[in-house]
Amino acid sequence: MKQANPSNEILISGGGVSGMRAALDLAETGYKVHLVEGSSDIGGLAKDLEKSCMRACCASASGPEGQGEEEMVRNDCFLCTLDPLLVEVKTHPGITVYNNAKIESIEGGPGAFKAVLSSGKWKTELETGAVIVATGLEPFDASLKSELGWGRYPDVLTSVEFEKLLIDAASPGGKLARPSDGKIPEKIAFLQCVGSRDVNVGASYCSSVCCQYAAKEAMTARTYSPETSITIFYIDVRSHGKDWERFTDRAKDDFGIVFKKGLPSRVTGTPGNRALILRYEDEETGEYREEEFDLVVLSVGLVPGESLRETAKILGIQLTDHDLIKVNPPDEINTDRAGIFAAGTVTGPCDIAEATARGSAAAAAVGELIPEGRLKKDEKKYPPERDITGQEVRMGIYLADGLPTALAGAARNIPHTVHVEEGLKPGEEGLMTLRRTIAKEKLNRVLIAGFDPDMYNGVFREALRETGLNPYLLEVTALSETGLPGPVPEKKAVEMLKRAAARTAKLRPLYDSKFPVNKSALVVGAGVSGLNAALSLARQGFPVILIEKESEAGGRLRKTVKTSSGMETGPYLKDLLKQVKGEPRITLMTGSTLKEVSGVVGDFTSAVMTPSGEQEIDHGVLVIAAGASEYRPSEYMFGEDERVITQSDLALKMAAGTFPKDKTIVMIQCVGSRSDEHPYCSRTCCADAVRNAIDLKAQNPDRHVFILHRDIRTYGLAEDLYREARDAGVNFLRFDEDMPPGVEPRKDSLQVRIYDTQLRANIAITADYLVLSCGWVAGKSNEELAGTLDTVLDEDGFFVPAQEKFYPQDMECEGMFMCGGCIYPASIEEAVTQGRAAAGRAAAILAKEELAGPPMHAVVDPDLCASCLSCVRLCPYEAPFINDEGKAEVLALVCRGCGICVSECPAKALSLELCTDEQVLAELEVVSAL
Amino acid sequence: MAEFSPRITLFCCESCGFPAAERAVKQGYSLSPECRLIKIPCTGKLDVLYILKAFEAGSDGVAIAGCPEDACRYETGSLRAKNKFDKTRAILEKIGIEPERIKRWQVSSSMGEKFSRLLSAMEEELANLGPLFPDRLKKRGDN
Amino acid sequence: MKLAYFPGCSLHSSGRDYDKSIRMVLGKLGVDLVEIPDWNCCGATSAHVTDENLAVLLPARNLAIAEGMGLDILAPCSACHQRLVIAEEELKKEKFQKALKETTGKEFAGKIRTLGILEVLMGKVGPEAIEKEIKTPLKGFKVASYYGCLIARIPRVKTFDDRENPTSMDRLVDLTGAEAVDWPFKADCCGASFGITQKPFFHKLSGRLLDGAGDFGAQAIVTVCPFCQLNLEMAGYKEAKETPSRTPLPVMSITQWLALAMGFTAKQAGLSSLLVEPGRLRETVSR
Repeated sequence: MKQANPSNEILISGGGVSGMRAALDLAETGYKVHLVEGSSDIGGLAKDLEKSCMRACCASASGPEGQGEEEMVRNDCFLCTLDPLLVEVKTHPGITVYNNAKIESIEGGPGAFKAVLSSGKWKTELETGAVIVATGLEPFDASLKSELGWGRYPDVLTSVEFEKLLIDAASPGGKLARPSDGKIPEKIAFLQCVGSRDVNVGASYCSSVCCQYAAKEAMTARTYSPETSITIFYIDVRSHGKDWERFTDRAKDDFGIVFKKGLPSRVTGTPGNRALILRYEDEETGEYREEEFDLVVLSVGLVPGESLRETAKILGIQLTDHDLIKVNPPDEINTDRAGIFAAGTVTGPCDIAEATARGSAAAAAVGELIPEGRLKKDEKKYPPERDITGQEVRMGIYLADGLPTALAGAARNIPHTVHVEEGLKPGEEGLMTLRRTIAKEKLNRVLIAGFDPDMYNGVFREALRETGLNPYLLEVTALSETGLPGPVPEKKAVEMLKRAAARTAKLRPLYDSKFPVNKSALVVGAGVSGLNAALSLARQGFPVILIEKESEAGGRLRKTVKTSSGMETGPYLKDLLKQVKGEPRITLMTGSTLKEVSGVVGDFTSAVMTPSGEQEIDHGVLVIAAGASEYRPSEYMFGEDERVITQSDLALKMAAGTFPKDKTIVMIQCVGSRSDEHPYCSRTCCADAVRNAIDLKAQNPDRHVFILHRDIRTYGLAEDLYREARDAGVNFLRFDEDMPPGVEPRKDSLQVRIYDTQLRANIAITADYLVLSCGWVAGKSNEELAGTLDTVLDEDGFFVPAQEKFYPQDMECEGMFMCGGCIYPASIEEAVTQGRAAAGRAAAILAKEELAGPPMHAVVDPDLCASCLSCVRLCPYEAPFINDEGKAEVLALVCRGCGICVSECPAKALSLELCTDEQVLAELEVVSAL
Repeated sequence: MAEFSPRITLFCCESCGFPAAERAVKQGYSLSPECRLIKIPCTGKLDVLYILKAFEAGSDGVAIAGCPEDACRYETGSLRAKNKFDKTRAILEKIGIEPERIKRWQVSSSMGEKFSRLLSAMEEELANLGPLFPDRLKKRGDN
Repeated sequence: MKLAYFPGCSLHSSGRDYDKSIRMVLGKLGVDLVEIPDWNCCGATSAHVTDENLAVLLPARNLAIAEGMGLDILAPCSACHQRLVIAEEELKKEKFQKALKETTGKEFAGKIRTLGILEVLMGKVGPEAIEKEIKTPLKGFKVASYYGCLIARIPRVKTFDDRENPTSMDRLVDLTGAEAVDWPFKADCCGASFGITQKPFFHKLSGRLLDGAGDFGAQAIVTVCPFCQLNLEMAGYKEAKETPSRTPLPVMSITQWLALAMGFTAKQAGLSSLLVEPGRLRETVSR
């Protein structure tokens, strides 16, 4: 029941990565966001990590100084990812952050909720159109597993505490140190699954991320302390994410981290905290070993905390048996109360990339619920801009409250300075002073000293606009060399003031170039991900052209029977197609492929080949949802013996009722995955196999079902299925990569032989059917699409996101997004969320009336240009082109502002605003005089 | 000779070099007041002129701190900077300035420790080489 | 405070000294113990590995009687305690209620519960009340608390203390003025009835405990379960006989130790019947 005039204010509870992503997407789409955070700062669990992953920028360190591979790991990578996100959220005009706050009560319905927020000191009432819950999960309290010695022995730490140890080790002069005596630990042990996969304490599900974070922490520790050896004790190594398998392989092969199967059940102390003893079974001999370690790290899982239960109560939404927020799969976002959506780990543990995707998907869900809310904008009116052409520079220097008084004197002596203001306070008082004095003194350059530019640029530029002064005639400086806030010695502060003033005097008025947005989308691929992306975009009010290369939409859903959690996909697909066909904004074109794409974000033109010829389509954004393909095996006599089938064959036969009830089934995992040819994990096969096994047993509890595996990767909530299968009597046998099972066909049976590594015995099984769990491979159309889009694929043929953790749905090119199996194998639920997430990201562009090109772009002076084509050839982004007048011109929207063309132009016809030669040289002049 | 604090101008790119410097300072490294950071969007924007002007401004050494070559945010910028660096070195040699006075560092944004190490090493090397303009050094002391 | 007392088979026989010290100590602390009239064996290990019904009904009968007295039960023996507590849980099921009625004519409505000695001392009586009664602080002694496995880990029921790292006895030792030694095997199995039937195996388990306590600097061990006390003492005594260089550790019930600290004499506390005597202790306490 929606209100007639819905509010465009959105309430988000929880400022972790998911909440922040949702906040930004919504604010960019035109909503007013209220972000409520319980602790003293946003950032969530992510901000306490030493690093989030070990890739990309850190991965190349072959500098002229000769540092090797090891060097690369030694640093925290959040500078380019989480930190800018924090700044963006804190400074976005559309987002208000409330720290140390919580939601006290909420009433009403979608479009019109009334919420009461409070912190220790204040209380306030809000009207809001929708609510997003993103309060996250908490690390498991290891004191609940007292046999592991946490809280008892100082050298037993949780993984969260170990991150802090690593941060200390990363600081200059720091080293990895044992809490008890400060010595460098020679041997460290990690114990996995603490508080996860546990029916007694913590959660019975798998926390999904611990295998990866343990490998990461171990690799980091080895880098800071190469003499430390590390052992990770595990049950299954769950490397089911994009590039995760290679990651854990690196940990083993390159970093020498030992992975031992089998968890010790307790940690035993020694007198004087000399060491910690772990007792475990040697996998190869079966003997018990007692080994001493200097430090034990407990890989704690992610579990719901009291705050989640409280929040659910206040919001009136239901929780599952796990105390997670209840949603209706395959949807992971809508709670059971209309207008309240879930994002992040509140519906189940996941990594940063998935949490980010869920945040964007929740933003999309809000956009679908109240698209009209977005259109209610209070357009701010500014006075007409003062023309300062030909004027002499009249600079005003504003000094923050608390700066040394000598600065004022120095400021007055700076050339062109006509006004100096001391004691400028942040907030409305300071802004009023600023506006007043700019107008009174007719200033045409403004320098504000003693403020963090990242945090205050936006606010002060706005003040300039409000007085009719071009906002780019401003510089904000923190007065330190690095721009970091904090006290600066007087002499240096004076110097920095002079240098900043020299730059400021050279500033010129700049204008954001505006570009129109074609408010429609082109979605390539009508599988489960693409269909959901298209629906979400359409419901948010944008027309969508959805193209599908096959003659029918549906993708993998056409060949599936159930999701691993048991939902039947047939009725789901039918309903989904009905919705798509009934949505007037969606135009579905089957038998159509993408041939060409040109243009820029907001203004793409694509050529699509349809059955009736080529069609040109103009659109603002592009979403690739091309999916993945099932691996067709050649192993295990598939194709030669009709008793060897795939899991999807099995599911279809069971659904059709044609699968015999009394046969013995052997399933083999990782067929076509984790191999030399495909060195990645296909993610969905273990859960699907276990689902089929449960159904086989349900058909006939007395039949024998065997699953031969290398690790069982039923991550997240699928872990419960693994338990269910074991309880139902499914046998799980484990083999090593080097000794795969052998199959021999007989007339009446298939003889399967396997060396089980846990029993340390050869097992022979007389089977009737062999079911192969085949992995996913990159879709055949990926390569062609990559060529069309001029983008690269990774070594496995999948698409590569702009940034794997914080921009998982974005392509490198602005305005292009992707979702589902074309990025990496995904479950149906994940594909749905990613589709919606891509829609959420795309909506942030489509919602805009026009895109503002940043003023920081290269500009050509046509009088100086000799059309030598240097810039055209050198630009990595193809921003410069030769225009109709035969001169070079730069496409502002494409230009990234790097300045390569500027330095290469032989005629100095190009200049880069906000970093001109004059500004740099003026600054050097100041230094010269010192 | 009395202790002399080498004047170093560091052209740092916005993506990597400058954040690396930031990080070094955050981690406790103290920048000498004679170290000056000039932020540019990409080291690819660097003009040979900038470097020469920096020397004219009294720098005893100039460092270019940019992204690692194969991980430049603007793809080719770091490589273009290498060209400029090589060109400038050739010019310095020709005019009788020790080419060691100019350095090119590849540091990614998180490499605070590497940055501080490289800077310390450069300061030491310059201290041994001595000031580029000894007579200007005296003037510096008055400021 | 009044409690029904369930001595079980041990407390009137091999655990006589434990029984005596319990009565002395609780008497001083104002707890009256009323022995459950016509109590029967709890079944211990034998019943629950033999027959499901017997395992519940044997302790259940005692519960019913105690409920009739309107009193909670103190069962000092850990095995008895566990059987009674499990029976309380199982009696929530209709089939056992029915069986109890049919076999014994009695009913149990769950109005009373069974406590161990540590819960009575540190839970019901409380550390403050105990501290007031400490007359002879046993300073300078390093004592390891041995809980044994049964009191700590009862399946499916919330236990008074932590299951893997219980600390209530350690805190009690602190109150007596001695230094509580933290050691890793405090809740590990001593071998229980295998002390009688599987001697080599039992020696391995109990021996490990004694060595562990010694390594961590303990000079004496205190227990809550009479069987644990028996096993450890015997193992220690035997070990000392075989390895004369190794000084055996004295093992006594926690209430005997507490009695000494509360001013009772060594004789009253039953020190003379210990196989291994804490010699130095005699200097501190009165005869």
